[in-house]
This record gives sequence, structure tokens and C-alpha cells, in this order.
Amino acid sequence: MDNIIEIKDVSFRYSSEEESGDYVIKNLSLTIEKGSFTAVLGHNGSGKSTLAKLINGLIKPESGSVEVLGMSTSDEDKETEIRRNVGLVFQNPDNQLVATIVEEDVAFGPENLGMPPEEIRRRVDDALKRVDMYDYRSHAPHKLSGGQKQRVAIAGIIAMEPQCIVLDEPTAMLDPKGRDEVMDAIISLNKNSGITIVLITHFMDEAVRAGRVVVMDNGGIIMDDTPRKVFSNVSELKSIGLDVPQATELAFRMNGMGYEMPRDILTKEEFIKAFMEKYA
Amino acid sequence: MPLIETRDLSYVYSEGTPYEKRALDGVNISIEEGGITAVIGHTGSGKSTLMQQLNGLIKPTGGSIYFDGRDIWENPKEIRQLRFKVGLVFQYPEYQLFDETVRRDIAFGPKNMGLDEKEIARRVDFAAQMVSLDEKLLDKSPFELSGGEKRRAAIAGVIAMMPRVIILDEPTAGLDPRGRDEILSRLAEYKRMTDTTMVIVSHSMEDVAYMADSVLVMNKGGLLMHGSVSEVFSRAEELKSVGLSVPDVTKIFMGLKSAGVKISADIFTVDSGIEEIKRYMQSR
Repeated sequence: MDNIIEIKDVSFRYSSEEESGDYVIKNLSLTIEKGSFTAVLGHNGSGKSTLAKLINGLIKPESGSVEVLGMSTSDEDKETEIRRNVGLVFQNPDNQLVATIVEEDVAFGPENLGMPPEEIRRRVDDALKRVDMYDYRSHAPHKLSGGQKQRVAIAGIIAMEPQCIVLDEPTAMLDPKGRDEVMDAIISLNKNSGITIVLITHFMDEAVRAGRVVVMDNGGIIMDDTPRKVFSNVSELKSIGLDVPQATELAFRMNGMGYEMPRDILTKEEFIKAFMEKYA
Repeated sequence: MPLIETRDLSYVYSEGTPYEKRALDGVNISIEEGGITAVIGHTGSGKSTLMQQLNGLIKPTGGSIYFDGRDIWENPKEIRQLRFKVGLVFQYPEYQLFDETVRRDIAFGPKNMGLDEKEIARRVDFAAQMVSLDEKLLDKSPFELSGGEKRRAAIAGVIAMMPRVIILDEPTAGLDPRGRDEILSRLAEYKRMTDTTMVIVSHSMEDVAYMADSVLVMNKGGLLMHGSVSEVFSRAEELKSVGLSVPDVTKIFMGLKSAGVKISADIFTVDSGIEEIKRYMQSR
């Protein structure tokens, strides 16, 4: 498969800290395949959000290179095209919505690209349908729930028809139902529309749904594997301040007590099945 | 007598305008002194409006609120005093730090209470210690602190008033697991030391299970359930129907039980789950 993002040996410091400051990202290399779904975990300050901004060119590497679809983010001529192809969704939906009507908000991006009205119409309708918000197209964004607002923000990104979406803790401010809605929308975009997803999250149950989990610590990558493999490192994850799913932790602690359970359990269904087979 | 009680409490935003919105509708709750009450409900269920009413930040458009047996709006001039007794920590309180140093920020509440300098200094030290904020950070600008430290500084500002009740509106939202554990364990320790009544609004069922004695469930501006953690979480289907859930570990034990395993489903934390598994294994 083709790579959509290639990060090679990147280091980065925020300019105010330059020379004296610490590196937020240190010699980091990472490639993201087209059409994949990658979750990025790490505690606050591990460099996750900086990585997101490096990917869509909002900030440039101090050394090393970031390439999106073969274009370097350091090449200023490519800036617009990179941003069009890599959409960024942030934590707080309230800061991302600008218009007074949902469909106008979603149309904002395509309008700025100077597209003809009928193409804008098509993209807005299509984007809203894909996040299941079409019925709300003429509502006022501020009256929507958090999950609905965040899906409108995502629709605004999809309307640009990007190949990749990077989401920086998109569910952190949402209630359980809002979290489910947004996660379902993200997964559907990946599965049904083939959009590459990079999801930065603190929620382990969200990371479990990705195809690949990358764990960051101190500005570098310390684990990079399938969710099953990554979450089997319970002690290591806990030592860097991260969690594992509750099912994984229960099985891990049962093993510690001498009651054997598979070490790579991820979901409650898997736990129940294994428990029934051995101990029922 | 409950410490806080509401009777037919209602609140309508922008009453009489086209934007009129009924946020609370005839809510009757009672909160006992000394407990930790969790308040859950989806966004827009009326949780935050209710919390802002409890410390007199907004005035009910119908019904009344009693603190320690007295209607808090009986004499509106005294409402400021109530805010010293019922401290409110807002959502994302770190955005409300404003003073030159962390120390001055934490001292803001006690200063407003008219306490003398010595008492203020004592309380600032106590509050900072309570939230594990390093002494060295106190003379820094709040903007130099990390996200988790800022949040703890904001909580210290309310602790420094030594209120009888602390209301926290989603104290762990947006924090990473370590930041979350730090805040919750400090709050639990503070509760243990001072027996301050706490009301915690949360979207995290795991946090609720870890902290609370009783749970209020809000839905559509009304009170849907009020009971112990065990009573509320045993109604998993109803919770699901209003956009809430129970902790994953609870779902696991419910699943085992309904598959015929002789195990309790009254399990809300991983720790209690491990205890129950031990018990089960020994009884086999």
C-alpha cells in the first residue's frame, strides 16, 4: 500500500524555546499508509498534538522532513494543497464552528476554495450525510449537542474532500453518547470512504478500534503495533501514565494472582468468553 | 436534615423571548452532609444549570433551594456569603486563572472573604498542599503551569475558601489518565481529611464508580434517578436509553452473571472486580 504521510527523523521545538528549549519531538520517524486507521496515545506533553500540527503543516520541523502525498510541508507552495488533503479536527467543537446555520458552516471551506455553487451544494449534502447530520442541515450549531457539533466540524473537513483526517482528542469534551456518535462517524469515514484516519486520544476503548496504535513518550515513539500487541504491555503502559481497557487489566491481574487468562484480551466480550471457557 | 435541598426547582433561559429554553423543570433533590454525590446526565440534561443554582450563581425562575434549612434567596443580599460556603469549580477552570502568581490566584477567594493576611497565607499553603501543588510553583505565573497543574491550582482556589460543599463540574475532562488519577486521588484525600461534602458532575462512569457514594441522574431537565452507586448502575438499560452507560467492568460482570456464572454483578471498579473473582475462585 502507498504511504500518505512520511515523517523522517523529525525534531521540533517551539520557537520561543529555541536554542535553550527542550525538544517536543525528537528524531521521530513514522509512516502512515493510505486508507489506514491509526490511534496515537501518550500522556499530556508527550508530543501528540505537536505531531498532529506537523502532519498538516501548521508547524514545520526544525530538522528532518514531513511529506504528505509526496509533498514536503516545508515547501510553502504546497501549503494549500497539503491542508486541503489533511484536515485537522480539534478537541473543542465550539471553537471550530463559525456560521449560524449548520450547512453554511460546512460550506465555509469549499466556498473559500472558490468552487461553483452546485459543487458546494453537492459536497455539503454529501459531507453531512456521511456523518449522519443531514437532517440538521438548517439548524443553528450552538443549539446542537457536543457530539452533533463535533460531527458538523468533521463534515466541514470532509467537504474539502481530504484524503486524511487528523483528529486531536475529538471526544474529550463529549458525553458517552456523543463519544459513540463521533467514533461511529470516524470509523465509517475510514471504512466506507477510505479516508485515512489519525486519531489522537486518551480513551483506550477508542484506540482499541484502530488498526494500529502508536504510543508516544518524551517526543518519541515507544510502541507501534496492533492494539492487541500494544495493550498486552500493561505494566509498561501504566508506568508512562497510560491506561489499558478494563477487560485487559482484569485479565492481567488475574494472571498475577495465578488464574491463567489470555494476555492479549482487549474487549469485554473476549474476557467473558475466556472466563467462561476456563472458570465457569 | 439534608444540607442542600431543592423544591420544584425550575429554570428557563431567556424567558418570554423566542429563544426561551426550559433547562430545569420541577427538580427535587436532597444532598446529605459529608457524602460524595455524583451528578450524571448527557450534555444539555440540565446538570450544569443545576450546579450553578446550588451556589446561587443563577436565580431560579421557579421553586426554591435550601442550604442548611434556609431558602438561599430569602435575602438576596446574603447570596455572596453562600458562595463562600458552596464553592463551585467550573468546567475547564484553568481558563479562569488570571492573577500574576499562582499564590495570588489561590488567595483570591479567602481575600474576598475578608480574612486576615496570616489566615490567607495559611489557607493558601494548605490548599496547595491538598492538591499536591509544589511550593516552588506558587510564585510562578499561572501560565507557566502544565494543564494538569493549572487545573489543580484552580481547585486549590476553591479549597482555600474552606467551603462546606465543593461542587466540581467535570473536574477530569480532557486530562490524560495520570492527570485524572492525580486529581481524583487528591480530592478523595481532601474528603477524607476534612469531610467536606462534595458534588461531582462527570461524564466518566469509571470516575463516578471510584469516587461517589450516591448518584443523581439528570435527563431532559428533570431528575431521573437518585440512589447509591449500586442502585443506579444496576439499571444499565435505562441509563443506556438516556445516553449514559455503566463502567466496562460492570458490563463484564453483568455478562458473566447472565451467562450463568455464580458471581456478583454489583461490581463497579477493577479493584472490587478482582476481589469478587478471588471470592468466586475460592468458592468453586
